[in-house]
Amino acid sequence: MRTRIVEPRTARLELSGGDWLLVKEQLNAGETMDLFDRAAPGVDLTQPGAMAKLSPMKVGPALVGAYLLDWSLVDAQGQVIPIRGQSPEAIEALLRAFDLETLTELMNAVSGHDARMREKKRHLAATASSAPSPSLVGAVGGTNG
Amino acid sequence: MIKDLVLHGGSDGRMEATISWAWHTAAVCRAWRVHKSETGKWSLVAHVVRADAFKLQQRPLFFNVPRTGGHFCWPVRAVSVTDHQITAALDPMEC
Repeated sequence: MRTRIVEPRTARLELSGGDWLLVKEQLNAGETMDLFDRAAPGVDLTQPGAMAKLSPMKVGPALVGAYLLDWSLVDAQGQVIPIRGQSPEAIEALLRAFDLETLTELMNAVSGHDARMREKKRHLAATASSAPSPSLVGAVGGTNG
Repeated sequence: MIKDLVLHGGSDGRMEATISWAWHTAAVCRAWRVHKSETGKWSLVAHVVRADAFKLQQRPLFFNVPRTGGHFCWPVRAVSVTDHQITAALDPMEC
């Protein structure tokens, strides 16, 4: 019998310029609910047309904040900007200090990872009878199969 | 060579430390005291602020003390929580 607990594994995502992100391999139910709450407050994502109400400007940073554990990004003095142990809200706020190209790259990297993990889970659950869980990936331009 | 070592969270006991399971916080504690015995065994005694019984059953666990630029951390070999007190057997400090 398989465990239903999400094991806290990590994945490394490579960025341009030799930078990298360390992210959660997948979010557990609590982390996902918190993400939905921050990205789409008050929106019932299970309802038809709900995705059209989402703002990429809220979803993208929320997705990064939900997944991100650590990184190699540095400040003007060349010191790695410490984020380990920071809350998703604190990380989201920090993202606003970057240039737009960097924020876009971070969002694309994390949303791509999210989409790949959902596809992997979809394949694993191919015989399950439950309905697919809602995803925010479409709101930031990615696909999830 | 240091034979007997005690690290603690300050005389007022207000410095918080955590026990973590990966990025999940399994417990928050204060008035913590880490002891390294002459035989090299590390142990922890602390007052519980909050504890997640499920996460405390998972492995691996680490005991984390904040410092400038990061944390000191010890792997947790065994942990128990009774009457608002945490006791744990630790492995040597890793970071």
